Amino acid sequence: MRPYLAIIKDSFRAALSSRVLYVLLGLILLFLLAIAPLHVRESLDTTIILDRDVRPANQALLIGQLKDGLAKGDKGVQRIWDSLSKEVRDKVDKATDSDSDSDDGERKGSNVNSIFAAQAAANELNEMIEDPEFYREEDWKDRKHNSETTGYLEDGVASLSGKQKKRLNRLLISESFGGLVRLGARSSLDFYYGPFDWSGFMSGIFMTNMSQDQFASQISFYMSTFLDKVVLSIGLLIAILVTANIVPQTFEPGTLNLLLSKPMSRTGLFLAKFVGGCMFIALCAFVLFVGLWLWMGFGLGVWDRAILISIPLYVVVFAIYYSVSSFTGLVTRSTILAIVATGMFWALCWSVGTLYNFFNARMEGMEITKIVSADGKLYSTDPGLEPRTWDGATSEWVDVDAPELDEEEKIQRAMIGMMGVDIPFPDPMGLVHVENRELTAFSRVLFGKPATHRKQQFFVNEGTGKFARKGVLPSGTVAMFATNENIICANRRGRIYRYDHELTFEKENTDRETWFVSAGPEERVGIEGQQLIAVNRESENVAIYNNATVTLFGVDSSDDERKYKKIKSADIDTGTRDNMTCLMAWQGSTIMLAFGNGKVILLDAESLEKKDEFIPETRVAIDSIQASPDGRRFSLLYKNETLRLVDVENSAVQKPGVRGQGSISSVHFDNTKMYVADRTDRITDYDLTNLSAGESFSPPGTMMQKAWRYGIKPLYYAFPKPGEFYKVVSHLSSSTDAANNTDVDLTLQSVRPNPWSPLFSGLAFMAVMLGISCLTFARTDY
Amino acid sequence: MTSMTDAEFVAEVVQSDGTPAIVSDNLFKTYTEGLISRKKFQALKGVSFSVNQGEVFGLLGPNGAGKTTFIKVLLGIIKKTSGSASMMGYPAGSKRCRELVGYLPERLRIPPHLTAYNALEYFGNLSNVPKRTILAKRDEYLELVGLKGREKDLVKKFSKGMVQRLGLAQALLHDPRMVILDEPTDGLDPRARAEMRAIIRSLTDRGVTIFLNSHLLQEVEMVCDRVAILDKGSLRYCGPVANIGQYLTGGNSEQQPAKVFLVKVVGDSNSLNEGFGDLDFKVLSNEDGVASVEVKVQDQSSVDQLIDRLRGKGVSITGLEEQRVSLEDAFLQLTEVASDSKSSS
Repeated sequence: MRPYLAIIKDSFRAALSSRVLYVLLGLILLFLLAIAPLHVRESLDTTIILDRDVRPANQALLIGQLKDGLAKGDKGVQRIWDSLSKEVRDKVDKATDSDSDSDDGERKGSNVNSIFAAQAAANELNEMIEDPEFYREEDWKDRKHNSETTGYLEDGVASLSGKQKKRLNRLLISESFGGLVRLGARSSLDFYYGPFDWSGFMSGIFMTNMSQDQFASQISFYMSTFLDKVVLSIGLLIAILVTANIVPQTFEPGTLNLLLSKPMSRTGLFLAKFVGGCMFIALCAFVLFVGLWLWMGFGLGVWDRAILISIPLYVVVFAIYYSVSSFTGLVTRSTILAIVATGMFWALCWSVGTLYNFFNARMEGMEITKIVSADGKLYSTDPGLEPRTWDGATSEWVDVDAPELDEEEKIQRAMIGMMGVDIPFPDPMGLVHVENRELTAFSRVLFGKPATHRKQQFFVNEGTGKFARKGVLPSGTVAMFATNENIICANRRGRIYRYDHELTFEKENTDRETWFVSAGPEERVGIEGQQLIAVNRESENVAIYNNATVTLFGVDSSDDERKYKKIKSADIDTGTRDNMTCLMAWQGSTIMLAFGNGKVILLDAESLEKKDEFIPETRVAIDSIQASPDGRRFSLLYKNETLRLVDVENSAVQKPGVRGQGSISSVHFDNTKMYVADRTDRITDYDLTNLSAGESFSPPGTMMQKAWRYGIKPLYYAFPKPGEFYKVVSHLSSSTDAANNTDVDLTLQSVRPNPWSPLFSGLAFMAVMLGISCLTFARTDY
Repeated sequence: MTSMTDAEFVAEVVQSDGTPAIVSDNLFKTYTEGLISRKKFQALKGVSFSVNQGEVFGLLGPNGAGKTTFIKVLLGIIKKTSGSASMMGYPAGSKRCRELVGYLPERLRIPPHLTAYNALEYFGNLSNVPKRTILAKRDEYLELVGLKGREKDLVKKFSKGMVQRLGLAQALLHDPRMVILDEPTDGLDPRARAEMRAIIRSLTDRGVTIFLNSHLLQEVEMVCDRVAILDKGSLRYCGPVANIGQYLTGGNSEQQPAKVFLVKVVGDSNSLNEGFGDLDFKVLSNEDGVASVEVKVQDQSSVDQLIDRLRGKGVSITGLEEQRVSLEDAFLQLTEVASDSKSSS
């Protein structure tokens, strides 16, 4: 071990002698010293500033308020009055006397007197606030206090700090003037640089009237971005520049032969040089981050562990780049080439990451989001929202025969395509297929004129193979379903509509009409999302989930218009907080609820009793759920595009052996098959009884898809992702309990399949680089 | 021999004659250069010789003869192509043998940020010497190499000779049983060379084997017991310095050497022929009746017999002088022969 430690030690010696370490540490210390005097103090508002705390119109009224209080025998006001100097009391008396005696002509003059008196009083009020003995229990006990004052009084006045006592006095005095004197902010932050107060300047930049805790959360929020963008770019650049010569220097003629003649292994020699460089940077990072951490803790009152976590992570990111630099230095023995190669590697990482993100968004924009099988035909919808159908002859998805979009609509569609999954408005309704009536329908969501009005155009194919425009969906429609007999939709307020193809209109232009007829119910429950309503195919009964309550509506058979009416409702014991997001599906005799925390509950559709519940091991949000028509299987499609199936009869959640786990974008059941869309635009059908794979509907794919599938995606996974390390930092700095907390709504979290993956892929890359370097070193004759 | 593994070879050597400091047997090294064309260059072509412990051995040869290559193979800095070599009974290049050897490389460069003390600590640590030992010994060795008083000076302020001396000190710090010196006096002034020779002698007194690699023949002649001459990767000679002339005149370098005498005689050719008889002789010149004849004889009695015979035939002997061949002559001759034979082939 001794020889290798000697090499590491020598790296430091070299760094010290070349003054690089001194310069770096000096710069870091200079930076820390520069920011050290900058600090914030959370202050309690303890002064009354007339112009700030009392509206100008009310200033004159203050005196009257004081006198009124005295007249009513308010002990608190009496205390204030007693504490005022005689001079001020005289002024007050004078002002109020003239006020009461005056007629309208003199009003203006008396107003001025009142304001003068108020100003004089305000100064003395501030003196009272400063007096720690001002508060006496007997003066204030009859008064109703606000929560902050009550808090202080409950804590016991004796236990309050001087500042808090002043704040209490301030509150008591404010209260004594009714609503005229504002209480002032509970707390505000004062920014200081050394002894100088910069709050005024800072308040011009951002909000300063927040508490220390709010400030801390803000700082933590920006910290990971700061570390990523500033430290990992400028800091890394400097680190690469100053360490690039360590390995090439070893290969100078006259040095290397002596080193190699010593009794130690070449692998050890190379790794010791590598570790020496890393430790040098680790030392600088340690000084910088611990300094920052201490400054933020003491100066800003924010103890953010993300900063300390950043030390090892920063060193790892550096080590990834340094492994490239070392390898180049080893092979070329040139410092310049080592720097150039590292720069090119950085550019490559950046390019691969950017390409991945770009292609990922494009590919998500092409993914099949809905599948419908109808009379031997297969339909799908991409996020561009247009339905397409499978053409077996060409093995391609082709547009359905439907009215074309006009120019403006095409532009809208193109923009939606560019946004990929981040579509700013809800999914369009459909595709749906009515089994017994050969009815297939979909809707198009478009911004009409005026721009604020969202049109949901409705298109139906009534067995002709051609989709025809049938007006629009009822306004505010949030969900559309096919039962075995008809198409049903529901709006936000819980009203249910039924499609009536026989409706006729006198007007020639029916674009703004609707073929949907209201079907009640009288007693409605609001529908907060597309998947918070479920319709049973067989019975056409409807279930709506709203805030932990499931309500069932059934068709009233006694009613000629077959209106819906409420059958029953039940509160569900969700085992989590009330407003947890939820998805619902219903087929057969089972209603499934899938919650944002990952919990899945099965209800008996008759009794609404809980039949079963699961927490699948995946800690990823559930994106959508579907039910097989017989209600025996439910699909759980997760945000990371993996699929689980709930087997109702066997009471189990299983990971089915379907193609493309990890790239599944949609699932659909019909009576005999399950259809799974994966890998952008491929659909495979599976037999429902044994889940054996059947036919595959896979277009050959465009050049872009191939480049993505076989080029960019594998490259991205193989490449280190130093640019994503802030994800690890933010993962570590966010509460680790979140993973097991059933109150955490996973749908609100971004999908992080594995927050450690940047670290793992980085370490793997580094290990490979070092392995190649060691092998090269060991096998080369020098 | 070439089919033997290194271990077998070493075992045999150790068994047969104690442990030689260096044994090289049919050692080949071929460098391959270029990624595409794979140009090959043979630096060592079957070199075989051995160095005994405790002796001062010189490896000679013109530039590019393969001397440094040979040392690098011994130290494991490069890998041999075939053949075998060992040091102190351990396979050449093994960690154990590197522990037993001190090495002063050619054109040594010591990191300039180190002081003499730091350099000794650094290189001592690399040789796995504990810091305590280094602290105890460093002054002694700096004094030995004449760097006393410069301990805390930075190496970048050192002259070439001083760097070389510091290099020698670091090579000795771990008490090696053998020291390999690659051109140790290169670039040193005459005084420094003399000092270097003195150091080498003192090391010999301590029982340290010295392997000297040099093209400065006088140096080698002055300090070495035995030499080997390498030329273009092939061994031309190996044996005592004194015997090199003998070798050149056809004798066996390791056997009792043949002596060459220059005899100046006056007499007719018949009596001369009869007088020299069956001895190996060559008439170099015949001017003014005085013939210069070079004759090889095995020992002094042969000389006496020759004189008696010549005198018996009435030949006058005007001069008799033993011919000595300097190392330089031998070196030139050996390396020339090699180049001639190469060019003629």
